[in-house]
Amino acid sequence: MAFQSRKKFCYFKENSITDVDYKDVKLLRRFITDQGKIMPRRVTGTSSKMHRKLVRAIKQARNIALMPYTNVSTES
Amino acid sequence: MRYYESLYIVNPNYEQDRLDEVMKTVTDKIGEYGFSIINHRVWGKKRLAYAIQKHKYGTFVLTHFETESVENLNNFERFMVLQKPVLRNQTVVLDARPEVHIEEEPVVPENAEADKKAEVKKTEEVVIKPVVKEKEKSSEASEEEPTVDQPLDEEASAVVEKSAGEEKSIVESEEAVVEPGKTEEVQE
Repeated sequence: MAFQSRKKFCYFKENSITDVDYKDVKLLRRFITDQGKIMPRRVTGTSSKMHRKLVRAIKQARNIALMPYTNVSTES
Repeated sequence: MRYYESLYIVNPNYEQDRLDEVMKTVTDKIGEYGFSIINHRVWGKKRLAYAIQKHKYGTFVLTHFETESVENLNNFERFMVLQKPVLRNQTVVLDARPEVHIEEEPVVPENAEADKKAEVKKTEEVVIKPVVKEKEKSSEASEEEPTVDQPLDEEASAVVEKSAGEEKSIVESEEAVVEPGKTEEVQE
């Protein structure tokens, strides 16, 4: 094949992280788009189990204003 | 026994005295509801991801507490919402008992890490600078020669290309001449 995509891997499994903390914004930022949307599992390659934890953590971080709900037109 | 973590944002314009006052009222209320506090500390003043009540910054306060009964949690949530200096609060269940936070310890490693980083940066700068200088020197030294050589090379290559192009065209023309003859022979 001409185009061979890089193999996806679960970031959490690779770094042996078992729990996602909603206060760890630096980690969570890896898994959102520039717009602030949560990236799908098929893009990030995160395992199903960790993706569920990740989504929960991102939503908690959004609630407490550590992460944006959306990045469109917030800065103006 | 269940462990909870409550993070709340206090109005950033509050100075230390009033912040302490707010934290004291929260501490008192937690005691009143029968929770026992593990940690209660200021996490820091941070920029909010979005404005809350037109505040762009907020002072984050982190508390850990444990309790047997779940009954008063709703009351506690209600109490926090009603507090005017508290912009936002969120209580989360923890799986394991949180470690007791000691004030002095985390300050030292952060500084040490910062120092290390600074050192690394310095070394990098030191490493980079000589290379740049060398490059400059080499470019200065070899400035005259390449300027003379390059045009010659270009011309030479251009000549070669031209000659090659001519040869190709000659070959093509010959083929073009030959092919019709072949076809004629076949026809005959």
